[in-house]
Amino acid sequence: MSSNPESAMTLQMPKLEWTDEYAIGISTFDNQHKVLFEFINDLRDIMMSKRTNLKAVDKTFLSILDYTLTHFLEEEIFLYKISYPNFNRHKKDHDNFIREVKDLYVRFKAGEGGNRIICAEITAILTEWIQGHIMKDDLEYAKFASENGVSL
Amino acid sequence: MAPKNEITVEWQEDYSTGIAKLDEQHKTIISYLNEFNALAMSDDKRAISAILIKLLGYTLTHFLDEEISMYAARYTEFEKHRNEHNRFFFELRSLYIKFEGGNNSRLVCAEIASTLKEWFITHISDTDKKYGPFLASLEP
Ligand SMILES: [Fe+2]
Ligand SMILES: [Fe+2]
Ligand SMILES: [Fe+2]
Repeated sequence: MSSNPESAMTLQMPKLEWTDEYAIGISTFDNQHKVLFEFINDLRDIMMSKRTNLKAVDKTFLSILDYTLTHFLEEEIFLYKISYPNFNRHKKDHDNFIREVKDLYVRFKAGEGGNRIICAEITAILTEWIQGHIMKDDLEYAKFASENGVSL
Repeated sequence: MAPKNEITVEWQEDYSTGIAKLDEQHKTIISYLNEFNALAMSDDKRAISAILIKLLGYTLTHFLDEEISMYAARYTEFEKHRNEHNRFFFELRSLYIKFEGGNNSRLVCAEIASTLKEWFITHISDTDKKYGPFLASLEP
C-alpha cells in the first residue's frame, strides 16, 4: 500500500462533470466549455494512470493552452462588440489564467518537482479555475447579453 | 515571401543570441511580421486575421521555449524576462480583439504594425541577447 502524497492528491480530484449549472445559455460558448472539460479530464486520466506518460501530458497540456487561447479570444471579441461594462476585468482574468498555465507548463517542461506532483497540481488548478470562472464570470456576461437582447 | 518595402524588417547578424534554435524562431517571427506588414493596408480582413492568429500562436510557443530554457538554466533574469513576454502577449491579445471587434481595422492595423516592429526588434536585440552567453555556456 502506498501512502505517498501524490496519490492522496489525485484522490481528492474528482472528474469534471458537465451539468446544467454550467450552462450559460450561449451555445457556442457552452460547447467550447464542454470541450475544455474533456481536455482537463483527459489530463486527469493520463495523470492518474499507473505510469504517467509524460509525452501524453505534454500533448494534452499544449492542446488545452491552444484551445483556451482561441476560446478566450472568441469570448473577448464578443464582449468587446457588445460593450460589456466588465470587459477589462474579464480579459484580465483570462490573462491571469494564461500567465498561470504558462508558468505551470514551464515548470513541467523543466522537470521540476517530480512530474507526478506537478501534474496533479496542474489538474487541480485547471479544474478549480474553470469551474469558478464559468459559474461566476462567464455567467455574468451571459446575463448582461440576454438582458440587453444581444446574442452571438 | 512577402514583397519588400520600406517597413520590411530584415534579420541581422547582430540579432543573434548564439542559440541556433531560438535564432531560427526569431527569423520566423520576423517573416510573420513582414507578412503582416504586407497585408496591413489591404482590405483583406480574413488574410490579416489569419496571419495575426498565426503570429499569436507562434509567439506564445516561442516565449514558452525561451522561458523553459531560462528556467531550467536558473537564469537570474528569468522573471523579468518572462514578465516582459507576458505584458507584450496580453497587449497583442488586446490589439487583436480591437481588430476583430472594432470598426476601424485600418487604424488598428497601423497600431499593430508599429507595436510589433518596435517591440520585437527591441526585445530580440536587447532582452533576448542577454540570455545568449548564459544559455550558451550550458549548451551540450
Ligand atoms: Fe471567460
Ligand atoms: Fe525571443
Ligand atoms: Fe524573449
